[in-house]
Amino acid sequence: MGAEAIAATVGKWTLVVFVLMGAIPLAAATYQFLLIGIHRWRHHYDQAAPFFPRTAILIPAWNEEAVIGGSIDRLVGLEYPADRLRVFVVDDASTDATPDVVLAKAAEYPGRVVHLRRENGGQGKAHTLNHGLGIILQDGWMEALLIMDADVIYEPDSLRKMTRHLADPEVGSVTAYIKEGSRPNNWMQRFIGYEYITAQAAARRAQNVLGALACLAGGAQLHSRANLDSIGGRIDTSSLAEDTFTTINTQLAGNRCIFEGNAIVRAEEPDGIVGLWKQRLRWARGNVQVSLRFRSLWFRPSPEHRLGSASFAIFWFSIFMLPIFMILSSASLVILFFIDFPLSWATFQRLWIINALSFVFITTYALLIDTETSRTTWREGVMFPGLGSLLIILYTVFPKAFMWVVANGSSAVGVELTPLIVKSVIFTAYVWVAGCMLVAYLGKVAEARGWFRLLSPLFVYLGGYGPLLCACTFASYIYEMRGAEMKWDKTVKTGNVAA
Amino acid sequence: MTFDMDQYTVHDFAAEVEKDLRFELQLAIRCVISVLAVVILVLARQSWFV
Repeated sequence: MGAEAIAATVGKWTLVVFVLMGAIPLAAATYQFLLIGIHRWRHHYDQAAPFFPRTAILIPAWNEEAVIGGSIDRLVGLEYPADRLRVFVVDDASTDATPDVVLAKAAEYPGRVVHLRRENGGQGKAHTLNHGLGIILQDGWMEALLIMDADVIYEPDSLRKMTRHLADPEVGSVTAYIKEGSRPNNWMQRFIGYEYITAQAAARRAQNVLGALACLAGGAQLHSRANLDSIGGRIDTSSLAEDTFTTINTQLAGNRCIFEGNAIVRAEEPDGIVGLWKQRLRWARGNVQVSLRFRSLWFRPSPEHRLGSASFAIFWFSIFMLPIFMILSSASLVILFFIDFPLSWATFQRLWIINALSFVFITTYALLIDTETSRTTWREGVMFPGLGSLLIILYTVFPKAFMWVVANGSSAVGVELTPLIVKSVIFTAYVWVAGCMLVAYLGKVAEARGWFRLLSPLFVYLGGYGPLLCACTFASYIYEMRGAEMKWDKTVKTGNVAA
Repeated sequence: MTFDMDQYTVHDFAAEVEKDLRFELQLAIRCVISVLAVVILVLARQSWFV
């Protein structure tokens, strides 16, 4: 074989590897979901005990008049010793009736509700939290701190289910399972509801098994005072992912972070693509910042913490680099289409067999993990990858049955499946591996343009909610490369969370 | 209603943890069910539809 032929062969097989890299994210997710199966035997309940530290609840609030009063009422009614619970609301220069509502609640619950005011607000959540933290840490009353959002609703038993883990002095922080709780919920909130099963109830249980947590939920982070002291008594203000920074700093300080999946917190999530995009762009940019800031952590095991394990890094980067995997896979398929079609087709089928089996396992298991949420979100769970990818999955799993339907359907409408048509469909499927992100993104474009907004759900159901999040991650790369301003775009809340 | 910390500490805590662990066991069983769903799919693909 000549040098040229060897180079061609190496080139082709390199492309095959790039195509198959498109299966990494779902394969990694499958690994993650399998770990949940052993959570029953690798958990922290053995070290938990009845424990009721004096807990300060810290709520950053900017223009939260619609939700803050109800939130305070529910917090003082938690199943927790009344004399060990205080609520501190940091009013971040609100321009609505938030201060009046909080002051009224402070009068209603004397000594249990405190109104703190920042006259110069708008710098972001971390600054607001630090304002309250500085005041709370001034005296020795607080033994644990719960950071939450103004709109979230805690189940009555959730705080004590979290504090029981702090009985173990090795635990620095505990987080809870945040569920999408809007009622009535629309199509977008159902997608988010399903996503939270996978990203929280499932992924964080797997991280418990690994002994390394990626992120304490912003609306439910409980810290011991010792942990706050060990991370400097302040929340990082240099990034858009203060929750993740706190989580990683906690573990780097030698303290454990625990996910308590049986402590339930309900939150109102965005009801449209534009709102979701703002929220997720902030999160995704934060993840870029975390990946770079903690670059010395990844794939470097340490006796002090588990953040450097290969499994944890695989979980982190399979999400963080998802758009890159998809684009690389799609582009390699397109090149192979022109230079070696049979090889491209065989590789495409293998890619989708892995994806299809992973999808069936993950979706089935996710729907079984939280059956309460699944009852309203199962359709969105099935449609998570989008109709286009779902058709490819159906073809991959049942090729003959699928082709029988296509052949009969096309002859019924008088269309002959010529080789050109078949090849065009295959080429489209190759492009779709990454193109679905663009289709889902069109949903965002449509939503901001008058009557076209009616079409925006169609784009998401066609392109996929997962690909929409991928598009957002891709946009975050661009924003970070451009060094775009870090803006804290607050998610609009209406207070329609069902208690 | 006032939360009775002593009652919880003496009687309710262990029952609550046991309930939560039972749920975690159910999740393990559901994991096996989901794996079986994939196995059935693979077998169905090989025997009926290919």
